[in-house]
Amino acid sequence: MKAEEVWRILPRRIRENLKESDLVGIQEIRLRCGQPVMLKEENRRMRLLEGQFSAAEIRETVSLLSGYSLYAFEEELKQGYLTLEGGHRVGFCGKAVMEDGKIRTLKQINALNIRIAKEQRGWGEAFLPYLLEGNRFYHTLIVSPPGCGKTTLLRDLIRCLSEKKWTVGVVDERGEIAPLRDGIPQMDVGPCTDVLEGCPKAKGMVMLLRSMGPDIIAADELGTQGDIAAVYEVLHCGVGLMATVHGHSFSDIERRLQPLMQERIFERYILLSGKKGVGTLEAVLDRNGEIISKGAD
Amino acid sequence: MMRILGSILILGSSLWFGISFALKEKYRLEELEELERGLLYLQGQIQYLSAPLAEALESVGWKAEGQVGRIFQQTAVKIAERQAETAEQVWQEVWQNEAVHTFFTGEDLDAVLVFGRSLGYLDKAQQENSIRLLLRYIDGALTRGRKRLEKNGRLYCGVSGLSGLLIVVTLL
Repeated sequence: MKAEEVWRILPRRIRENLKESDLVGIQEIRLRCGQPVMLKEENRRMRLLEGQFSAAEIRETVSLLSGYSLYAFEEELKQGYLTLEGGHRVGFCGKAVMEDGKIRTLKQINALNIRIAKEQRGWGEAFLPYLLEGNRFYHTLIVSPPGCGKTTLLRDLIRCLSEKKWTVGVVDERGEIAPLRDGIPQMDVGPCTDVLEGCPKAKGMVMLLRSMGPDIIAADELGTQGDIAAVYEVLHCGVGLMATVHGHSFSDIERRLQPLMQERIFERYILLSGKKGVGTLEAVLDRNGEIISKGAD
Repeated sequence: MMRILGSILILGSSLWFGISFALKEKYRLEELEELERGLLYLQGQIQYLSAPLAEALESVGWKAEGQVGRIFQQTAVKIAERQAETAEQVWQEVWQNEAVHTFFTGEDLDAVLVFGRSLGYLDKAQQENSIRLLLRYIDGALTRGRKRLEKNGRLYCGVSGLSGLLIVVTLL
């Protein structure tokens, strides 16, 4: 795990009370104004640090995490989160400033949730037999509640496919799959992968399709109508699709991605949960929702 | 022989005094122009690329020349290190350390440090406004400086040369 990006944004007091190695095995760091710092471990246990987190420390953290450049993250701030180098995500809570019925920015930020990104090489290998058949890739949707390893699995599947010489185009809207630094992905996504970062998924999928000629397009967290329209465009061009979506079960996403699900667009579903820790495999399903492989009980 | 040598030395040093006075102003204007160019690049980086400060200042550092370019580069490195609490602290530290190697006046330095107060603060509009404010100062300083140099440049050389001559004549 590359936690130095997270370590660098923590205020001085916290860095003095912790060691960088203490961040190993941590899934989330929750910083709330007037409350102790809370570290959530991967096994879902919570650890509290001594002392209260002050408003000044929140300001210091926000300043550090934006590289003293909050102006560069206006759009992210409106969405309530931003992605750090290394793909770690920071969520904000505060007071919304409204303009013409839209959120202009957040002020008086009072809570931060830092989610530490993980890279688990090799996890995706086990799924390849279900997703590939000869030269054919099955359109795949990874489904799980937040924080259960969707993005981590997607990233490793991208790497596995890329290493098998499939050209994978990645639309990384929030820089969580393969954040770029000087044009180089900071996480291993394989040698045949093209990453388009910071572009809305709907536009990015179409752009990649036209510009890079991918065999497979990968995107994180489908949800909007625009995303669904772009999925159709990808499918009409004969390109494979691999995506993730928030959800607890097959029936849960059936409601949310109605047209795609009704037409049985996706041919494989990988359901994950956090029952036995992050990334617990519930099942691999086929296009009709029939179980192909079941996770360990 | 000694008298001639002494006279040449006095004349030469007084002339050098006048020339260096004019050159100081000329170099200051050149540095102000470089700073102006750098700020325009910075404005573009922020406005069109939404580049964070470290990235924006690094690009400016590569484009701007001389000491001003080095100052931008150093600021970029220190901002990327994230050791200070605010960007203002980094900006102040670098400029105060490096100002001795520049020809900027105290007034120039004050304007630059005031600009640092809003560096990275709030939104893009705020950044552009503060860049514009510093650009306006630089513009005024350049206009005044150019006029002064045009008017006084030759005067400095002439007066210093004549003063040297006067000293030589008096001593002889």
